[in-house]
Amino acid sequence: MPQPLPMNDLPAGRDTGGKEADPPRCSRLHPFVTLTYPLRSFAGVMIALVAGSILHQDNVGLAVVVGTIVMLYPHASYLAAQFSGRSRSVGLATFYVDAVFVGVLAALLSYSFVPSGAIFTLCLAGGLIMGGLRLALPMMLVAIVVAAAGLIWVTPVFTAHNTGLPAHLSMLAVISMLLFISVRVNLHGKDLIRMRKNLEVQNAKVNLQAALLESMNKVAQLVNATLDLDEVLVAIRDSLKPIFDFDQAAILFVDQQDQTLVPDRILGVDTAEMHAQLAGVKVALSEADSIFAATVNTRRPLYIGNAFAVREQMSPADRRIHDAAPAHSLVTFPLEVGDEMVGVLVFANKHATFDLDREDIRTISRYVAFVATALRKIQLNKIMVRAQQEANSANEAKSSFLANMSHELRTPMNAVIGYTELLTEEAEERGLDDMIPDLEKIRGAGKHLLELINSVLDLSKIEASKMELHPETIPVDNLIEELATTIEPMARANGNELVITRRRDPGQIEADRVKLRQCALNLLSNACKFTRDGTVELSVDRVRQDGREWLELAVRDTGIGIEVSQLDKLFQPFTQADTSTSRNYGGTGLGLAISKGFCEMMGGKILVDSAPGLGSTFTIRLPAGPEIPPPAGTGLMDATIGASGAGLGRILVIDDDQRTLELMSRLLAADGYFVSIATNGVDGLRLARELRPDAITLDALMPGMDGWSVLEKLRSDPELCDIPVVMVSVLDDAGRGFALGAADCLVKPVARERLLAAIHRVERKGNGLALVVEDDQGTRELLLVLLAREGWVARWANDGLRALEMFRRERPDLVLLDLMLPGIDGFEFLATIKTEFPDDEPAIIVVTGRDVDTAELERLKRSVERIIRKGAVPGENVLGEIRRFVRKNRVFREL
Amino acid sequence: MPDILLVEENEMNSDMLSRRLVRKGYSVRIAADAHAVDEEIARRLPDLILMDISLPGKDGYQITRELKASPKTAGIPVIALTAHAMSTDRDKALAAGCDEYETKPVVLPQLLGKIDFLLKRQRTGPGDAS
Repeated sequence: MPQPLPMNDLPAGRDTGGKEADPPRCSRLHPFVTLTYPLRSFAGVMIALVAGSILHQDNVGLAVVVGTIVMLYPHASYLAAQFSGRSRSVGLATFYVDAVFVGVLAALLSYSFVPSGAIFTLCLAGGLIMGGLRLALPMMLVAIVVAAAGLIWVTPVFTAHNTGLPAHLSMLAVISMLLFISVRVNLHGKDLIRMRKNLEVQNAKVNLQAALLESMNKVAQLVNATLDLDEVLVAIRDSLKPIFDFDQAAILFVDQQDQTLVPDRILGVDTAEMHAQLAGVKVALSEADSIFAATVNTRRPLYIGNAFAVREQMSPADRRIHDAAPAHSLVTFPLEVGDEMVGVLVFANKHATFDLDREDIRTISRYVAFVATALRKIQLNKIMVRAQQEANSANEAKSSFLANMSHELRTPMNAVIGYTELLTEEAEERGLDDMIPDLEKIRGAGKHLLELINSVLDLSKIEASKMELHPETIPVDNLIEELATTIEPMARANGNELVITRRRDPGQIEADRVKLRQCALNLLSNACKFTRDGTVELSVDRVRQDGREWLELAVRDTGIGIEVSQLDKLFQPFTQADTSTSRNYGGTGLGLAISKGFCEMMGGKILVDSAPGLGSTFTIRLPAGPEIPPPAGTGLMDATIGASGAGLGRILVIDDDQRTLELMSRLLAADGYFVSIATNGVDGLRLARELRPDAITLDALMPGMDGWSVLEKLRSDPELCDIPVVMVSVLDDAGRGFALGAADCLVKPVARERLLAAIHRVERKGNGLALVVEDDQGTRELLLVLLAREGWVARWANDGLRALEMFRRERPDLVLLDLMLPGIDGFEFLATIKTEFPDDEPAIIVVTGRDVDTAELERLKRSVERIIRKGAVPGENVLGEIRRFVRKNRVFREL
Repeated sequence: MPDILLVEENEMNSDMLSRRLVRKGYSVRIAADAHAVDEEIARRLPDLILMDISLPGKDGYQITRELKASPKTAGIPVIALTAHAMSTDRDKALAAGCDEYETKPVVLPQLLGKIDFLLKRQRTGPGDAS
């Protein structure tokens, strides 16, 4: 069993004051110096005065010497303190100066036992208090050496003098006081220094916290913005780097499934090599002596001071990680979110032991707890992405397997069918007719098998979302023809009549031709298969539903029909409504499932309607136009959606009331119209000009330009006059509305049925272009409304010249012509267009109040369809005649 | 007698298809891989090539691309034959320069129609037939 790793719960705490910071040398005065210097100077002056008063009579020289020494002493002490680098030695330096001074005094006192002894004792005591024996002994040594030096030089001079006890005692008292003060000051200075130091430490901590907070903030922003682990890890490392001595950061994620820790990223190590070495390395959570597993298991930070020294004791996985990313010292932090362990975050220094105390660990722990959530998010994202990739590759594997399988299955089928056909041909040639039915059976079975293979392949591709669409624009008529040709023989085989119904021009559709054809043929062949001596009808139509236009291909048969309870099963793979069905009718049972899949891929669906004995209708419904967005809440609606295509109506709703706008546009959009809205008359007119809607609903009462003015403007604009307008008003003023040329009038609140009925009636159907040439405004507007209601696009002119202009610009299909016109009259107009456009034969209806004589009548009859006489007021009978005519004419034109 | 070069690795398939084509009045040579194609073409230029796509070594697309890149053989119509009935295969075949495309198992009348069309176009020049 390997030796347990010497990993520490926490690094050896260090004595807060123990580590000696290096104060800057000489740059500023040590507080100790500033404290003691004035005291010493003061005391020095006092001693000089006392010595002088005692000694000046007997020994002037001595007095001068003592004076000089005591005056110099504080300065010497000051200089000594100032030039000593460390705070601790400041006190010591001054004490050594004190010791020299004590030696000098002893000599000056002629070594008389009592004062000298007292001074030495005081000096010794001071030294002991401040620095123990280590200080006191050198001090005594210095003092004795100085005193001994004084012996050589002082003794001959002062031998006979007796300075007297009082003087000695007073000097002794002063010196004692001096020493006492010195010791006290020294002690206080020490306290002061300690306090200052603490303050600095506190300050550093505050700064550290602030820096951490700031970097947390940065990392938080980053983490919210990115899912890139490298980026986050770099941010974490870089934010901690200036504060702690790390140069590597690593993360290991817990894999909950197999209870391991997987190294994910290691920053600060040469990547390529490291990744190669780390490939496949996992740390089992149960692994003994793994610092990483232990971090997760104990949920506490762990520290290794010298990892190289304990390499041999590491767990195998730890050793591999250590070898891949060597580090001298490292500290691990558990990453946990709630109760869940996410992983381990490791900080390391490659070369040095980093220095952390409890407080640092706590700080980093807080930081790590903070980033754990973010890292968890990244881990979850990675898991998700990986799962997605795995699912994708599984899907790809499945579909490539199917593609290959289908190849492998088809190749022998190819041979089976080919040789059977070959044999059939040979049998026919050699007259072996009795063999032919059997050969046909082999071929039939082969074909069926091939069909099955193809269907299974299709179905798997649909399920794996691997089926590709190749949309193209298909002229629907063309497709129908192709389908009819293909299915005709099959319909005939069962004695069925094939009927193609086409309600209106089905136009074009954007779809995958091959797949649409396959779907339609599937429905048609089913219909032919399950119907005998009946009818199979293929009808095509365009319908509006759910706010968009659809193409419908409906296959109706008069066959056996399907029970309602069986309808759902129809589209499930390998399920025919009745298991006996396949026996009787054949088929793979996959066709409908595939068709349904194809239709859904193309954005459509297959509908089914059936009753037993009455036959079935299967309808393919595919989107055939752009989707109509829900009406916008305010302002002008986007006007760019689809230029009104075949049969699609665009309605402009003009109303200042938001609720009405919303209601009407919702109702109209639900009915399949493109709806544009305007909230005032000016915008309404502008949009009418831009969009040329098929109908306009217009609110009568609006601030600014009211509905009636808008209506007048619309009516008087030759380009817009043919747009039918439905007036919507709170008052029932239909009379006014009709008089001004409204196509219909509704009273608010508008009921859905009323609105839609009115719109359906007035909606411009685009039957043809009509030109109304009439100078009388009333008659003209009446005619315009009539034409609009009958679905004509109308232009108008109020004189012959303008009429010719309009005629030249756009050749109309119908002209309603008044004979009496200002400028060029009706006859001249007719003559001009006849010569200018001899090939154009528009239907011309003369609407005139004038009496026409026989000669004129004869002239007119050659070029005019019909002459309608109008009275003073155009009555209903005139309108009726015109209506009848334009209707008949429409039918005629369609034929 | 139109000379058709059938490029097909599977012996059974080439045997079957060649016999059926011979019966319809074509002369058919068979090549099983790119190397054999080169040999047969060096011997005599065929009137038309039926090209299976799944071949050992160079696949049918690659061979077709090379044939179409050489001025000597660029004019020979190529019909791709493949068992993959996917529209991407069709696109790939046409992109490689094949003139037509047929899915295996071949529907003989359909294939004959395409062969005749391409041979006729070859005789009359592409302008007339298209």
